[in-house]
Amino acid sequence: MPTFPFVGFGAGLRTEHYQDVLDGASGSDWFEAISENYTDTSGRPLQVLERVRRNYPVALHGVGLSIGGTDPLDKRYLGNLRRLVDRIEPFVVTDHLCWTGVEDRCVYDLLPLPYTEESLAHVVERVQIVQDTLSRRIALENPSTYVEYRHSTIPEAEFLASVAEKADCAILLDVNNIHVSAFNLRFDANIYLDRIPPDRVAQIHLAGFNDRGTYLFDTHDAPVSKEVWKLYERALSLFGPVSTLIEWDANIPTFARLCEEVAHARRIAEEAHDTPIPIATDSARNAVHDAGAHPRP
Amino acid sequence: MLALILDHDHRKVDGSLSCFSPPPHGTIAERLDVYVAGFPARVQDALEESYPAVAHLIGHSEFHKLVRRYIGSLSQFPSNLNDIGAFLPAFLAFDRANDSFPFLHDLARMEWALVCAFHAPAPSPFDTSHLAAVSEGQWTDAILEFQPAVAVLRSNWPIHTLWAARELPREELDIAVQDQGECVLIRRAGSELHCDKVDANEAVVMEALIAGTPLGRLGELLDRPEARSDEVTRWFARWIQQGLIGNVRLQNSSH
Repeated sequence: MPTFPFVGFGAGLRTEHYQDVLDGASGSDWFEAISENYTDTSGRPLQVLERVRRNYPVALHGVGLSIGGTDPLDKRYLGNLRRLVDRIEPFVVTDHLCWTGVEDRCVYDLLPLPYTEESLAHVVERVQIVQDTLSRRIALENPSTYVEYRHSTIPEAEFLASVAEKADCAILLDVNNIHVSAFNLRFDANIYLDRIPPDRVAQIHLAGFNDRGTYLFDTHDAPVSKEVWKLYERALSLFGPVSTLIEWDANIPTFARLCEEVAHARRIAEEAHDTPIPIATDSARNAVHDAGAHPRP
Repeated sequence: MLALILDHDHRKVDGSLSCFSPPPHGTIAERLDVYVAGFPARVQDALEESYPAVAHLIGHSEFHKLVRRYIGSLSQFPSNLNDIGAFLPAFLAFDRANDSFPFLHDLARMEWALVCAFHAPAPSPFDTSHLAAVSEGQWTDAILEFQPAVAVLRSNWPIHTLWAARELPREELDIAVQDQGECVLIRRAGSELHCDKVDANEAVVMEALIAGTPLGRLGELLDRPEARSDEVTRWFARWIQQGLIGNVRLQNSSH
């Protein structure tokens, strides 16, 4: 049974906040960095990430793995990612359950997969290759979805759970994406949560969305909505304490404002588990580092 | 689905409908538009980040059209969005935007050089004992190796002035561009990027040295080399002081 470190409540590492973080502004227990912003650079961004890593646990979150794609896995991308992982020693490496392009034409988006037995086997095989390359488990995130394929035969939650079990990987559960997809495709978000195996959830994401009337648009440019906070509460009742991240990628607020959202997540978790969860101390951060990043047996 | 996104032609949406289930609210076309509209928007954001001066000087509407033409010209897209701008300078050499903005190609070359310098490896400390190891007779064969973040560009257009103008409101822009050529030196000190105008002769010399020309051949590049030797000495001293030099080696030697 895999176990994942609980590292508290974190925020995405944005260039706008580099100086706040380096100056030691508190409010976040850990930070998530977008892998692609650091794999092809030897300049300031990587230097900043290394300095952040000295004081905080870091998660590496990718958008370019295309785990569901039909092109062969990109060896150069994986090699760069492995080097970054070795350098930064993140507590988790994550990406999305999606595809991003085909035949060297990437569209920089998280395109939906059909959920069939065939695509399940395909994704499982590719996850195993990635995990062997990185020498660690990865976590896959449920995407926000706007369309459904007619020939899908497996509901998304079951598909994600099956990938996690068969590939022995983890789940990054984006609670905002569950809410957005549930509205867009008219399924029950609570039943979705019920289908996720608790022992596979390594991390939770929370973010804001935009209501377009006939669909919800996952924009990550706003505070977390009250419906998503409520779904988060339910998730915690099912999964126990899970490292949680606030994603705010556009219309980026001040660091102080971002940390207010992080604090809100902490308060909800404290109420859910009826116990205070203080901001991680240096010794707690070092313990995560020393524990490694849930290496695979 | 990919063809729909890359062609960003909404008239082609109908052909994509059959593989998707009808949504509970709204239309499939509206849902697919999330992806169709998202792709050029993300490319535009990435290009604006890499080319702020180009984007500012030609204006938002023209830049938007330029991005569409650029996307249409690419047969491959790099897997990392941060690299999408690598081909823009070459594209601009022949794009119709040059009709109204003939300096764009050179300005883009400069902005991409800044991006590369920003992401280049940290400078390695220069061991000045390497200078002492070169005997007087060997200097003609000496090759200077510059730090990875160093770049020099020469242009017939005022690229430094144009680049600086990215901070000015568009309505205040009034830059003479004809016969106002400028040369720039890009370097990094720690994590700080520097972009300064340099004398044309220094730019010619640096360009040749960065390309691996031995010091002994600099005379071919300079007018009246005997009058310029003091200048070269001063440049060299400044390059050392600014940390631009990474190594000195002899031609046909790797050390």
